[in-house]
Amino acid sequence: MSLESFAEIEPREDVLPPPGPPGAGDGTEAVVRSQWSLFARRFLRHRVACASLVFLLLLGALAVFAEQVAPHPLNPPLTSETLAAARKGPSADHWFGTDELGRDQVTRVLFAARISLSIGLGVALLATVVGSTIGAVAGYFGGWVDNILMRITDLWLVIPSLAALAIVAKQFGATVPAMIVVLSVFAWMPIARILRGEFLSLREKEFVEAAQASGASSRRVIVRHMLPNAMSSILVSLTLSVGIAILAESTLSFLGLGIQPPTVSWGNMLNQSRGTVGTPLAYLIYFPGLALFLTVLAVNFLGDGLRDALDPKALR
Amino acid sequence: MFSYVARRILISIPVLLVASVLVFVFVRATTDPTTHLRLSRDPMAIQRERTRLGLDKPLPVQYGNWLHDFVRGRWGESYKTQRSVSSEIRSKLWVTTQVAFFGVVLSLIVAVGIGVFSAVRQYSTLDYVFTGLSFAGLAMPIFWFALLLIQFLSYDLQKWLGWDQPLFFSVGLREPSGHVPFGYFRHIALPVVCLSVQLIAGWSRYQRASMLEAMSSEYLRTARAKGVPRHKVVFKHALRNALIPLVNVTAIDMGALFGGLIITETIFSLPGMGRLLVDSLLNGDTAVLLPWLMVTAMFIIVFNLVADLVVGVLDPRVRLS
Repeated sequence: MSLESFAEIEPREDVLPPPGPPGAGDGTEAVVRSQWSLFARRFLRHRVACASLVFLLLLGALAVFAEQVAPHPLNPPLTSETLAAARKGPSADHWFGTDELGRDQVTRVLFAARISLSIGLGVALLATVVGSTIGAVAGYFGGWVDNILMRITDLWLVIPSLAALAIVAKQFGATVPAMIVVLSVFAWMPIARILRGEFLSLREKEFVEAAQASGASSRRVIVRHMLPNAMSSILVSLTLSVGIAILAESTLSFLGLGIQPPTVSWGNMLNQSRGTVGTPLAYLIYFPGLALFLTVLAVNFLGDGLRDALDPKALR
Repeated sequence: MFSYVARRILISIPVLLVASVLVFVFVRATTDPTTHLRLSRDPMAIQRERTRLGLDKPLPVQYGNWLHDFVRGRWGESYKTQRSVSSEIRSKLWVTTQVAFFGVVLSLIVAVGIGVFSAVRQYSTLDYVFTGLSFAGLAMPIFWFALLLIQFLSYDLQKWLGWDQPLFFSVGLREPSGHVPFGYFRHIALPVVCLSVQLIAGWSRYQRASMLEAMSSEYLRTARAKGVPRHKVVFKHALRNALIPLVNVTAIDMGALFGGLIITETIFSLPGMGRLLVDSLLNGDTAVLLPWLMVTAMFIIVFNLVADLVVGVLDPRVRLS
């Protein structure tokens, strides 16, 4: 499933209080709540999304402070001591075990989280900025920008995106910033489409007409009046594209076409330990993959929870 | 129906042409066909190769020449093996077709089954289980899932059964050492499952949603009220209408299917198109890229055509409009 399936999200105009929890509706609770606290209350009710947020924040903190919290050095010197501890399965000292060079896998997974998370966030931010700008302009003005945008997105369906990504990444994308740019080039289109749809419907609303009538410039109408109304879908597609970007990066790195060693990412960790499948060293494939899987899962749950909290009408 | 089919086929031709322009420009912009000569001692080698390949001509002329050659089956030679790219691709295409065929069929059957069940028994325990599984499937990196399948269903299962051969093989499509019972299915099973996971996860959610929509429609209530038996309501009236959006999504996801094939064929050492792409990229063999993208684009366009025709069969309104 792609981002497109979330295209039907509509902006919220009503600020109805949520249907309260059972027992709370005794009529004495006529509290006026801000938009933010309404959103927070709805989000907190989504248990899995909250747990995902906590997990991601924790992982993010561990990744940022990897140097301080990692139990072992990333690349231990190749002494006889290190080599004696190499190729050992999970133990109290090395929770995820050690590889052929005696490198602690917990440490490597944490340092790899840094790469994967920053690529995921970087791609999501860049693609969202580019995609929302283009989508907003196309939806507001229509015309040739709109036409070109729709044709590009249609055509893009006939090229397998992983193949295109692999070709570009092989040429340009061995470093983290290059990888972010390469992945963003292929990630902005769904967001642009969603924003375009949103702006097409927002354009017909009275408040936009009012703003235009009172002499606001197009730029002001788009930025001050329409974008805030589209914020919920921007936020949701931003979150979901983090997951898509992390998966794409790790897939390319796994194929040997993305982040190259010695920079460590979950994808190239799995690439390096591919050969251990079926051997006693197979534990090397479990933990990087598990970290990757849980991260993407948490990001998707978070996106789901945000969507439910931001858009009560889209509740299942 | 005939005019509908003819119209659809005619529409595909300009799409194919525009796709060929896009693919051509994309490959020319991202790759340099003379990279393999960069280490040459002869300073004129690159220049000669550029002239030979016609790279000194303007881009539209290059495109015209390339298209002319492509249509005639002259797809150039691989820089590494010196074999003709067309025979290279032809030899890989059959493997990919088999894996893709079984993958799509399996995914469709399972996804429709899960989708219909979850819609009919909405909010049942199994519905929640399927929802959870689809979240897991969408977050699952295909390559990691493949490694786990090989570890558990090939190696660990063999050890547990105590056989001298694994129940499911993880390399290639046949055993070099001769005949094994059910060898073909034991080889292709894991790649097909691996390819299907994400498709099933996405498509079953989609099928559930469109089935729920169909089930809540008025004509269905009418059918129930008239006393049409429940199984007939579900399978004849609701399912037929709920399949239409799924067919369209299947067509859209064909690009993702090729992505899955690239990963699966690489891991399971299947000599198919996906593996060919990864190998040529890692070897710097850019001659393969342009024909490769063109062939997959053709595949995807043909599949979209088939999907359009299926929708035409399912929904008479489409073919009459």
